[in-house]
Amino acid sequence: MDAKNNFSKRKEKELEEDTIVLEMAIKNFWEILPIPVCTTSPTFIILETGKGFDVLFGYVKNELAGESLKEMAFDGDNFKKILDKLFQQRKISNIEATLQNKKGEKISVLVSAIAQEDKRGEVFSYLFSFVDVTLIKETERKLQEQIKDSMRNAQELTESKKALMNILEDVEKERKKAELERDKTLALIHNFADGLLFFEKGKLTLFNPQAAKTFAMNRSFKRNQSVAALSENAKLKPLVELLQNSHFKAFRQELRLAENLILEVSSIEVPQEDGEKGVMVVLHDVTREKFVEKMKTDFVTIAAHQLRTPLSAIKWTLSMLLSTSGLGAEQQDFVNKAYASNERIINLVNDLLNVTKIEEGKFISELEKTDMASVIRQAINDMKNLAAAKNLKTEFLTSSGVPLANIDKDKILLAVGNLLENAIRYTRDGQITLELGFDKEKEELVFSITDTGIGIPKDQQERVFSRFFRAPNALKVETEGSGLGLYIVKNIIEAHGGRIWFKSEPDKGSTFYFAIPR
Amino acid sequence: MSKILIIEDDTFLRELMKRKTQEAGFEVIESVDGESGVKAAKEQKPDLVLLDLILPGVNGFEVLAALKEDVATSDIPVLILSNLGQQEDIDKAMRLGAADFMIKAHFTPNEIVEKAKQILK
Repeated sequence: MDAKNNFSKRKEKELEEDTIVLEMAIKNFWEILPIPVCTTSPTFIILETGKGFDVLFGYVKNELAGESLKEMAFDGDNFKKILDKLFQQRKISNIEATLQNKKGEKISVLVSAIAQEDKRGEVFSYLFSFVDVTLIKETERKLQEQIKDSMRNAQELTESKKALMNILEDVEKERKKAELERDKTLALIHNFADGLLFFEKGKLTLFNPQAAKTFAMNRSFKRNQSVAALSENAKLKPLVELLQNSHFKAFRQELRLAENLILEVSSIEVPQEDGEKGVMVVLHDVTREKFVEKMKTDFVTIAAHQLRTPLSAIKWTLSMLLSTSGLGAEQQDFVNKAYASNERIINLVNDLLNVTKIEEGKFISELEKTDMASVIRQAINDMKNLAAAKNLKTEFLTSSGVPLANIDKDKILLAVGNLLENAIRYTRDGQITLELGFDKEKEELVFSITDTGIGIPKDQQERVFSRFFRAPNALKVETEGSGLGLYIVKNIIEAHGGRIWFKSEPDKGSTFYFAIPR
Repeated sequence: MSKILIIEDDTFLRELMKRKTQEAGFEVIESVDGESGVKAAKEQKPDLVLLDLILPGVNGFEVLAALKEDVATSDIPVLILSNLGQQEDIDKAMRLGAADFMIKAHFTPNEIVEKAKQILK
């Protein structure tokens, strides 16, 4: 019995010793284990903390003993719920939680825990182990931020790309539009019936086939040829000279290149992007027009000659008849009237010839320094019989200091004569006053002729200078007259660079003025 | 008595001019075209030529030029009497040496004879 007891006592003692050794070992482990571990009571009051735990949470050994583990939860973390779960399931493994260290800083951990039960299954303590994942978490957070940033950047990039694509699309559209416009313009230039040349900075930069054809130089015409190089070509020389003389400014001029080639050359300045000016030159072939014009002129000349010959015969015959004695008073009267009618036709032919000349633009010949007063006096002298027949007095007023005028004397005589004849024809009684002065400011000679005649109705005044115009009241008074007189006068004055105008009051009279530069 | 050569293709006008100049005391020679006109001028040495411009064959301008080129006739004054009357025609005739230019339809025979007398003075 004793032996048995002894054995059992010895065994007990052995066991007790073993337990102590084991406890010591565990204690030592606890001391050196780098893994944060702790034990708590069933109510999660901290019993003991390992070295790793103290290091992780910044405490000294067993500083936390007696504190509730629950208090270590970081603000708002679900650590308490984890503990509830542990209470129910007795074991948790690697659950994420956020705790705080002594300084109150955030510590992310993975929590594992297990309940320690006695033989009856009652929990007498919990063993906790923590894995510090703060660094991992931080890295993860940073990574996520980076990813987010990248995503944002990617988004931005996508948007930029989209915007860029839109811009490119717009640009492309505009480019296509511009191309279309260019094609249109080129097609227009290419198919234009007139020759077109475009000069930029003294070089020929564009021309159309018509231009090349005009100069019969399909091959030798080259782009970007300098003006100087072009002028070496005999065919082009007159054109280049014309352009150079005009300093490449806008103009319109006729250019006769050959007997059967007459061009109307127009140049137009075209502003360039860089502020320089390009010049577009239009070559319009007027050879045919000129030919037709010449035919017309020749026809009119011949027609005038043909008309004048029989009219001359009548004039001479009647004039000889009148100069012979032996005509009765009545016969004399008839012959006189026939003579006057014949004169009218001769005048009409003259007017028509003048109008033809005016329309050809060749009416005025060379200008000469002339005393205007003497021209006016001659007109008065030419018309004196007509005025005397109507008992009209003519008065001519002029001041000294009127300079010589640069005029085509015959044409100004015709103009003054026409105005004076009108004044006489459309005035029943009263007088006609002619006046010549000089406007020093405008450097113009100003002529006026005032009558006390029938005047021009207000509603007809606009048309006074039109061809073949005759006012109704004029037609009643005077059946003679071609309606060309004032048209011719206006053209003569304007060809001298002058102006013509009038004031008129029906039944009171008219004043016609013209001014021509000295 | 002054001798006058009328070069004019229109018979009626020529007759009228002839009568008028004869009345005025001129001796009159007539030609109906340019060629015979030049010939008559050279052979008969008139004191004055009345010259029309539109003539069959050799025209008046050519006649005028021929007369002025030949020393034998270059001194004879030539009065152009024509129904041409454009400034160019007048200028051309004056350049070629015409004494004056009269448009037929603008003057009576009296006035033409007066002009002839004036030139011969």
